[in-house]
Formats: sequence, C-alpha cells, structure tokens
Amino acid sequence: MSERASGAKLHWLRLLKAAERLTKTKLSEEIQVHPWRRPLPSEAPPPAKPALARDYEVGLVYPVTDEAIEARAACGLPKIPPTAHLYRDSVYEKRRLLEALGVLKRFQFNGIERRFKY
Amino acid sequence: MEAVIAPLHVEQLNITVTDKILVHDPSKCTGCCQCMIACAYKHFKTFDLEYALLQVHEDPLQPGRFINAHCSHCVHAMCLAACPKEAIYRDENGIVRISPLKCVGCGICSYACPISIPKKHPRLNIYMKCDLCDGDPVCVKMCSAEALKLLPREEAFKIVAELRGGSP
Amino acid sequence: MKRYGYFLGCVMPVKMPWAEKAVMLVAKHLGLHFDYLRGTTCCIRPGVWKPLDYDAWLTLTSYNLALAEEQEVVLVDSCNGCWISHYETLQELRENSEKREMVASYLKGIGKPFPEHVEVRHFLQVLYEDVGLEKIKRKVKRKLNLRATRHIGCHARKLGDDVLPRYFDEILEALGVEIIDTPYDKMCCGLLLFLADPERSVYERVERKLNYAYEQEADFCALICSGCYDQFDRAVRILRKEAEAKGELPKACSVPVVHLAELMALAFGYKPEDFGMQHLRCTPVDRLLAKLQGC
Repeated sequence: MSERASGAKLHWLRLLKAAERLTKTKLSEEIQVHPWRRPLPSEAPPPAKPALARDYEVGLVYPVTDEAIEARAACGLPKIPPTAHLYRDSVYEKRRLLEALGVLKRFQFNGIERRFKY
Repeated sequence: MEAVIAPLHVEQLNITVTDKILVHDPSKCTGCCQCMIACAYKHFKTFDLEYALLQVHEDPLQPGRFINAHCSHCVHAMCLAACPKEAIYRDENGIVRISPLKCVGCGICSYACPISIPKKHPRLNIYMKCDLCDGDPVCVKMCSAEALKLLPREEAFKIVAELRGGSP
Repeated sequence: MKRYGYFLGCVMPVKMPWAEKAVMLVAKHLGLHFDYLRGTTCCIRPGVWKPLDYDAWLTLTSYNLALAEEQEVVLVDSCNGCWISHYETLQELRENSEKREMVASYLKGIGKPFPEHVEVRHFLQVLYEDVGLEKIKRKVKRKLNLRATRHIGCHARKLGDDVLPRYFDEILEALGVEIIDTPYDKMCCGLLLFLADPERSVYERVERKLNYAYEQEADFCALICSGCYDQFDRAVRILRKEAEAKGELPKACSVPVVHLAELMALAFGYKPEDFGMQHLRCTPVDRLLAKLQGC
C-alpha cells in the first residue's frame, strides 16, 4: 500500500474520532457532568461547526487537497475545479451574503479569526 | 412564519382541535432521521436526537422499513386527561401542549399516551411533546420522500386505516 | 438546443473526479450542449441549513441559481442534495412573494440578478427525458452483463417512485446491469445522521447495505448522488480501518460503489483509463474491471 493511502487511512480514523468526540458532547450527557451549565449562546450545533467553518473559508464543504489535485490530473481534469475554488469572487460574495443575513452573528462565528466564539 | 394549521371545533365535545395532523407512511420512509434532527434543532438548537419530539424506529419484523412515532394531537387526548396538574392544555388552534411552568415531571402523560409520546426533558424535570412548530411543522418540510405529511383529519384517518389493512 | 450548466457541488470535484470526468464524457457522447456552471459555491446543504436558518438556505441557494441565470444555462445536478435544494428553492420563490422579495434584495446587494427564468434539472431527467432511453440504448456498444444493487437516495424520491428512481433503474437495465432488489433499497445512506449519531449512520446504514450486496454476490453498488457517495466513502474507510485492526476480512469493503456515469461511459465503449476510474476510490474496482474484460 502506498504512503499516500496509509496517510489517508490515518486521516479517516482521525475523522471518526473527531466525529465521536463531537457527538459525545451531547447536551443530554453534558448535563450530568455540569448540571447548572446554561446552554451556550451559539446557535451552531457542534457536529456541524467544522463544515460551517470550511464553508465560510472556501465556499464549499471540502477544500481541494493535494491528493485531490493529483487524482484530478490523473483523471484528465483541470487541477482546480471551476467552482468557488477557482473563482474566489464567489467566496467573497457568499461571505457578504452570510454577513448580511446575520448568520455569522447568530452562530457567533468570527470571520476574521475564522473560528466560533463558543 | 406561515401557519398552515387552523382550529376545528368539535361540537359534541365542545373542544377545539387542529384541522390537520401528521401522518406517516412507512412504505415511503427511508429512515434518514432528518425529521428528528430538524425537530431537535428547531426546539432546542441541538442535533442531539435525545431532544427530538418524534421518533423514527426500524421495524423489528421487517428490516429496512421504518416507522415514525409522533403526536396526533388527539381529539380524546389521554395525556391531557391524565395530567394531575392541568399542565397539559389545548391552545386556541387545538394544539395539545405541555406548559413547562406547571409540569412537575410525574410522567403520567407518557404512561397514559398509547404510544408514550410525551418524553422527559433530558436537562429538566419536565415532560415535553410535539407542538406542531406552532402550526408549520419543520419535520414535514424536511421529509423529501414525503413520508411525513400534514393532512386534514378525515383524510388522515382514511390513510391510517388503509395502512392498517382496512380496519380503522 | 438547451445549454446545460453542470453544478459540481462540494463532493464530486474533490472525492469523485472519475465521476466528474465520466459525466462530461457521457454528456458529450450523447451530443448535449454541456459545460460546467462556473463559480458555484455549496448548494447549500439542505439537511443542515434548512433547519438552521431557512431564509439563509433560500438566499444562499438562490446565489447558485443566479449564477445559472447569468450564464444563461439550465442548471443540472447529479447530486440529489444539490438538486432538492435548487428544486425546492425555485418552487418556494415562485409561490411565496415575501421570500421572493427578500431573496431579490439580498442578491441585489451583491449585484446578482434574481433567478427569474432558471430551470433546474436532475441529471437523470436530462438523460431520460431530454436524451431518451432509446438513444442511450443505441449508443451502448457493449452490454455490461454485471449484477448490482443500487442506491438511489432519499431526495430523489421527491417526485415519487415513478420518476427518478424508475429512470435510474431503466437506464441501468439499458446498460445491461442486472439489478438485485434488496430490503434496504429505500434506506437512507445516513449522511445527515452522521452529524447526530455517527455509529448508527455507519453500522446500521452503509454497512448493512454493502454487507447485503456482498452476500448477494453483487459486482458493485450503483448510485447517482455525490452526497450519498460521500457517506459511503467515509463509512467504508472507517469500516476497513476497524476490520483491519481486528484482522477480519471486511465484507462491506469488497463491494465497490460506482457512479451511473461511469457505467454509461464503460457501456459506450470508453476505457476505464479515459476517466481515471481507478484513482481515489474507497473500494478498489480491479475485480469489477477484470470481470468486465472477461465478458
């Protein structure tokens, strides 16, 4: 098995762990540990946060990785797809829309630091 | 938000019920649980399924077939009749609700309901149940397969009777 | 002649470039005026955004519709999630004047036109309704003679089982694929459930589907939706990793998940190398290709 493939495997294992961790902090379970904790003010549910942050960053759910660039070239496709990955103006327009809609404020997402406040 | 539910007066009992109720068709359900996730988010801002006010279960006799347990806002609401603290009431649209201020968390409503729809709040000692999202249920909007529908009561009874194999 | 703008979405360009290439090859082969819809952002994910913020979902989806309006193309989706987002948004904008005004004002704020004349089509609709099954059958150079289970996806059932699911089956059969019916045909892939209950979405959805396909000796599992592929890909990688740690043979990981466009390309006489079929796959397709060459 190639080095790249084993790297991808590790990535997927990390992803599973991350998903388990995110979904383990369920409000129903958390309350047993912190009975008096108030709900956090962000309206973004924790499992969706990584995808929402990436969405703000690249305009789509997944960034184009080196592995994807390599595979796209092997398939006879342009290295960067003609989506918001290539047309960066779309990303800026989307960010303006997100700001105008008040979504960033509701989710307590800091657009400059690219992270959720809570 | 646009309310799609209207009050319907039942003269014999002198009560007001909702004109439409949720109906689930198991033959169309794909078990995606989008209804549960949207419900939990709508009411509690979480994707935690413990908070969903309706439940999708796989049929133990037929794998791959799913059934949905949801509140029907019954004309003869057993939960309402059983509540010792009068915490369960019908609002002006006929939606059967639990008042979180009056509920003492005894759980009798859950025992009285034929399918145990009222469930205990995971954080608080109160019971909670479907409120039809104040007249525009999000679960119906989320169901792409159109297994969950909001239908007038009479039509819903007919469909449920058909699903049961002819017996109403 | 209609000009089509293909909406790539998030998953296809990054995780299934072979399907992207195959779609373009097949569309050209069928004589369609088919190109990319350029500059698209996420569709935007209906399962997440609709409950999170309905107005934001409408507006951000309309952004992609506005791009189609600008580029004067019919928007084509092969991902069911993208299609349902575009289809439902368009329906809502046509029926609800309040939402229409709201979306128009947001789009005006960034200098985009309101999607007044846009048409949204599923790739299956383009194939079955615009091209026609007869033409597809005529283009088939060699029947595939393979057995497969299929996964159509939840959102494709929006128009009823007699529309997109039937188109999918009939096209598969036209390519010479023998469809194996399973009790899990209707069951969801568990994509959104992964955010709420990852274990259930991996073990009670994808694993069961693929295990059944393995037990029925299916050569592959066919699908059309990139969103579903995302979930299959993720789940298979997780299952393989776990199975390898236990030293067991991963059953579910032996059945490759194949996109309809790839099958069409193969049946039309293209070689697997023409669209890079073997690259970046969650399950290798070597056995499938060996069987195909043996036919």
